Amino acid sequence: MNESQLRKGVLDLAVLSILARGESYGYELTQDLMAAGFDQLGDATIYGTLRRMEQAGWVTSRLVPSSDGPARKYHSLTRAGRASLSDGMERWTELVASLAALMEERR
Amino acid sequence: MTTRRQQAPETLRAGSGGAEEWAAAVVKRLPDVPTDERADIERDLVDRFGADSPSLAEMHRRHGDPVRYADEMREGMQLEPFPPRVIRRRRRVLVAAATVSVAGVVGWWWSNGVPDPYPARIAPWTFDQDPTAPGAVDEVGSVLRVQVADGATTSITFTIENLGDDTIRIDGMLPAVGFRAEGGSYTFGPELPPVWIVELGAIADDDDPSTLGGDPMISRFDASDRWQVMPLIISPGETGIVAMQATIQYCQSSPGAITDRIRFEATIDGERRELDGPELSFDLSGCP
Repeated sequence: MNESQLRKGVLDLAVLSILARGESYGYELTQDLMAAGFDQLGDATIYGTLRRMEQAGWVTSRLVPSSDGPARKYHSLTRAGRASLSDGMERWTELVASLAALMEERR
Repeated sequence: MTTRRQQAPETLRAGSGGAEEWAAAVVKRLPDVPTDERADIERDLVDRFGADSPSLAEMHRRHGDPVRYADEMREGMQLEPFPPRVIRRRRRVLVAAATVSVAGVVGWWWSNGVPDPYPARIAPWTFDQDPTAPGAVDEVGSVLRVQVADGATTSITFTIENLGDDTIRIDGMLPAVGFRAEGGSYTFGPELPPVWIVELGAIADDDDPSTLGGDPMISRFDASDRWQVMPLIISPGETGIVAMQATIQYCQSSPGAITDRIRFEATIDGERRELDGPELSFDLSGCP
């Protein structure tokens, strides 16, 4: 099974989890995702994901001037975003438990 | 046939406006996103990447092909892959025959399936490679492989014949460039230098055509980037010529090649369509 496809499937949860720790801007978020193993993802995919989340009302953003380049767009979770993360984590936990049970049966 | 330049090449070569051009090419690939959001994305990309007024070529170097960027954005936005062509009329699929000649000495016909059902024949193409160079041009399956050394320039001419009833407007080329080395696949990113620079041209029927390949009807636009907005109107029954000149920027000692599926972005009967051309492969292992 393609690991990058697996990771893409949980990209939303990963992004929401990182933002749950505090607001972050694109580059920083990308670095955090890479450190978590999402190293196959490009800037465009993450940018598209953030835009979609903003459209959905999960994420809000604000521009902060930067001394070493263009203004940074900081993203943070909204209440709806936190609810979505909570819901997603619950479903993820259920999924992992189901899968673990299936794998246990094979042994 | 008439040819109109939408944008003078000089403006593309200048050191500003590249971010705008690049961002416009990205949002062009997002036609199913609401207009106001597309405009917002375009502004956002220019704000993020255009602070130092990079040229279009610089934008490509830093951020890659805008088509690829847009497709990855679509993935992140959970949109369907770039909208498939709308087929309003079922037409027979033609097999286009292509003639490839090397400096007028070596030539052969090459058949290429045209997935787009619109009856357009893309043929022939002409390379200006040195025919005396051993193994300079080779045909591998449906791929035409051209071995080039660092700094070598290759010219390729496409002839597009409109066999249908509607006018074809060729808006540009969408070369999807990939890179192979040692059996792996890599994506070009801002950290890599440009591999090649392509000049595009289109046939002109009026004054001041320069020559390319000896055809006095071809005007070279001398644009310094792979992606060029280039309206070219081809009426039913008529033929248009698009010339591409590529200069390889570097070579490598290990086996590797650039492959490039040439696609023409077109408007036919008011619909955005793509006409698929053949695949090119430039072997980069010709280091001196």
